[in-house]
Amino acid sequence: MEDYSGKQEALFLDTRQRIYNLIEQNPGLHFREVQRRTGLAVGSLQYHLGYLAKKQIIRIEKNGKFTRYYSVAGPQLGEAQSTMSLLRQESLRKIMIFLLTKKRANNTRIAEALGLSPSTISWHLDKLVKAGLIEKKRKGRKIFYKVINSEQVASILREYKKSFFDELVDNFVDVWDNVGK
Amino acid sequence: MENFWDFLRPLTGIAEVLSLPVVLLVFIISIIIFAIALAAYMRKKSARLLFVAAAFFIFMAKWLLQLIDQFISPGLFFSIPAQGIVELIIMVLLLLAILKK
Repeated sequence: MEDYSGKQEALFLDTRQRIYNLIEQNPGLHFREVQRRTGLAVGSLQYHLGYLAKKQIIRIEKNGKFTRYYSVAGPQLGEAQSTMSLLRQESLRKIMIFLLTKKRANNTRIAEALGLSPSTISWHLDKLVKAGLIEKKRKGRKIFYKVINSEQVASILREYKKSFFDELVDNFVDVWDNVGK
Repeated sequence: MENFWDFLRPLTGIAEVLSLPVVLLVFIISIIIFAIALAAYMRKKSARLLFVAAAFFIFMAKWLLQLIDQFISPGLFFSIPAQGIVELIIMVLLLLAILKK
């Protein structure tokens, strides 16, 4: 009860409500995306995000060079959150989708299918192995990769499919926002 | 100069053969781009994106008419002068989007 009234108080301002709604509907957004979608000034947005995090209404997760925001009351994704965070990166997503459609594949086959260099694929595969999403197994002289929990990954991809269309729209907005600058 | 047009003539012939599939493909791609442009405007509600979405809507409508025209009365319904006016409107909308602050 106390938490609920604390949340109500924290979200009393329209601006904070808007920020919170955006994060709740799009878990894992990074700062720049939140700023672009809300149209708020950087300083103002930083202040409100800091406030919401302090009131434990949103959670902040640092992932490499990005800081991503999640609603605390939103769907409890747990591991799926970090999976989603990784799958927002296009190359990693393509590799996962490719591996989901094949039982297993090696670096060369993935590189040929996706049109990326083997060294790039190798770098991405290492990331996915470290994240516990895929496993590698040696067979003779070759190393093969396989998705560990296909159902969970497929379910995340399905559930957040809308977000990937959002990326297309984001790219479109980016292009036209930068025209004339 | 004459040799230049002689060089282009076979390409025109190929384009004539591929006319219907190309028109269909352009129409399908224009639908996709219009959908993205519309979603972008709905998200940001900016005048610039409104002009862009309108331009792609007219572009899509133009190619729909061209597709219908392929079957009904090729070149007679949607004449080149008419297409010119539609393209002018599209260009003006895109220019407004570029100039809009």
